[in-house]
Amino acid sequence: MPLLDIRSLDKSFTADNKEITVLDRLSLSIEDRDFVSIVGPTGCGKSTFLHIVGGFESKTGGEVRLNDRPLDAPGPDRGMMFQDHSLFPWLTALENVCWPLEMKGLPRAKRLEMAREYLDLVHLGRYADLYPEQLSGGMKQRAALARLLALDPQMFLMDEPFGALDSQTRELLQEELHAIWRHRRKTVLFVTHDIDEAVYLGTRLLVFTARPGRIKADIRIEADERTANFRTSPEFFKTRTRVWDLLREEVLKARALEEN
Amino acid sequence: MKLRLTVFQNLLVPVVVVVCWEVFGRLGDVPPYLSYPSQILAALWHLAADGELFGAVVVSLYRVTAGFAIGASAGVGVGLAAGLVRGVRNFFDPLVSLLFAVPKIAFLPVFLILLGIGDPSKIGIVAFSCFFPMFIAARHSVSSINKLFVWAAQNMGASRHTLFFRVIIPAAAPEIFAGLRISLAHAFIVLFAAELIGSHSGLGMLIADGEDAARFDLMFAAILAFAILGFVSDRILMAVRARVLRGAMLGTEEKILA
Amino acid sequence: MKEPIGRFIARWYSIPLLLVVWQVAVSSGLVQSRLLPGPAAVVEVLFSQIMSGVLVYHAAVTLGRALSGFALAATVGIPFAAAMARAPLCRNLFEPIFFFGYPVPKIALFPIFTYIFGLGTQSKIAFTFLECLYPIVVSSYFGFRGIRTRLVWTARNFGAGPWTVFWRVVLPSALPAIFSGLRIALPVAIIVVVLTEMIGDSIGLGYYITVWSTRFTFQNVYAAIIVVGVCGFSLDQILVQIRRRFVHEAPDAAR
Repeated sequence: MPLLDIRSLDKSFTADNKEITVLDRLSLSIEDRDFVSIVGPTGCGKSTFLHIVGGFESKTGGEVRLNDRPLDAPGPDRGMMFQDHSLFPWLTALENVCWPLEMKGLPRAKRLEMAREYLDLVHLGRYADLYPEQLSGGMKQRAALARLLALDPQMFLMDEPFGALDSQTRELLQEELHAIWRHRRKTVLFVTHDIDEAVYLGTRLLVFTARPGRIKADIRIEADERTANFRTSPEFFKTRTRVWDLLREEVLKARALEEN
Repeated sequence: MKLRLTVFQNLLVPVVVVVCWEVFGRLGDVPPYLSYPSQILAALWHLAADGELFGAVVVSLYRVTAGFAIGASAGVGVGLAAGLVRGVRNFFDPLVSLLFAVPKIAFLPVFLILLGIGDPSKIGIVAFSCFFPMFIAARHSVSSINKLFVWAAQNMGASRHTLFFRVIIPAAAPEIFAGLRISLAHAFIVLFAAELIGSHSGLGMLIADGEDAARFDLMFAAILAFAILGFVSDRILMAVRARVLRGAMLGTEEKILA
Repeated sequence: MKEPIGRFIARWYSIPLLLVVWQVAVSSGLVQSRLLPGPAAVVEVLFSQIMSGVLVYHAAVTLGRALSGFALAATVGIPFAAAMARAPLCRNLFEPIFFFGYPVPKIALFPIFTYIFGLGTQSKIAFTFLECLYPIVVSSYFGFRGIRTRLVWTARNFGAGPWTVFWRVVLPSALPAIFSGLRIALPVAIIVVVLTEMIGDSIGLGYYITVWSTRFTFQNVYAAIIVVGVCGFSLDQILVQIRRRFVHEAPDAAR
């Protein structure tokens, strides 16, 4: 039985008296411990898809089942991470990481101890008492990652989490995320604009079509160990080229849609 | 359909208040000093017809416009100068911070003695009140200009003159307008008090007259006229602002306010 | 943090300079000292009137009124703004009243207040309440509306219920805007009380100013003006301190 089962999911909304279909009869099942990268042109509904799985946005039609139970509200079994980190600006890094632990009802001492461990894990131990504004972009995303680890959900929902970072920081964080995923054996839905990132991280890669969003291609990436060598391997380039060819068509379509 | 419901809800409270006021006013269930809407409108009409209202409006409008124009332009001028020139800043900053916390209306007696009971004292106190918020807005607007704008202009060979009129003024404009709006609000408050406390003319006087003669319909009519005057002035300022700041206002989510 | 003495003088010289010019102008008989008493005379009156308790009494009256109206407006206005931001019905019913009423010079309504609440303290407090309500509601309303959805989502994601979301996310997010509304309203409260006391009363600093000006004793007028200014300044500073305590402000960026 798949972990996440989606049957003919529809999402549309009205803007300026026009009905816009964002997702069109999307069906998909995701196994436990998969790392699913999702790429697609701007506005294809990949973020909306993630928000629906997170339970933040409502669907128009279809079915979403998690562990064979219908899903329609946010819950701590799915942890969301946004591009803009969404750390609470009035709390320090440590207090931010404590938040999900507090919601779980852990005692204060235990919370602090665990939060420190998670911050150490993402190499932020020294910066625990700084506020989000005092952290660099990469450090903020690390703190958000630590908070996600503290929530300890079955599934990570990540919406372009590294999109706003410079490329060196991004590569380092990709490696760290990969290591975390390997050790903790989570299921990840990872939306990104960056094909390299999608190929490097994913065990499975979904290419979305231009609006209305459907799945254009569903690619397995078999490489086992994702070291820096993987980025220069022939397999990486083959997959990368294939994904870009598929995506290019959709990007052009999306552009035509925008110009009309 | 949804829009109609919204409009209905928007209008509900004001309409209910006015209708209740009218009904209970006519039934004599509210105290006489509250009058009632139709009586007030009749009084307003009457005042307008015999020219008394027009005369009072002209007097008040003259005072508020003149005071606002003098005070605000002095505030903008000195504020910009203080923002740009250290010497000016060093001279004015302590004085303004000293006087800022004082309600300017407290100086009304001084103005009354100094300038008499006529127009000059009213214009003076209004100008005095308008100066401070305007100075602070203009001074701050200059110091918060994005350095990159200035560098970009200098890079393209802008002279000091060009820099001032084509970069600094446009960049400072949004905050200057915010200051103007605060000043205008102050202008009306101060004018009202000044006319009520010591004056022989203007809308404030008309209100006091209505009060003295226990003609509450007249009092309300003058209050209504004063409120409309303030509201319309603000609207005009906002319209000018929308026109001047076309580009700068794009992408800011704002309604009537801010 | 210590700045060179030269810089300090350059930044503050204008106040003593003005006082000296003022004193010289008065002592030399250049201006009529009845209208413009010198600073020395004003300070003398200020001290004697404070020591005798007269100014203290009137200041207490004015402050009491201003703070009552202000506190009332905050207590009513902040929850009201939250309701307007969260409940569409409440928003539709009251938004126009606040947005169209905002630029109306409400001071014009004060005569009506004196009829309803009398000439004394009640009408002052009621009117201060009205004047303070507008900036507090409008600013808080924008604060409650401008909350980043992502933060709310994040909190719900962690399993926070509506109550927790309100107290732990919505309120802290809106707090800076609420405080800027309060900071606009506080000087308004003092202005309005002094002004309405000048229009008609028998106690309070506004009354004190009017009375002594009709007696042409301007050193008392200036002394009262100084007291008003000090009150306004200290209240603002207190509010700033309270804000510092409750609102997270970005410390300087890490080096």
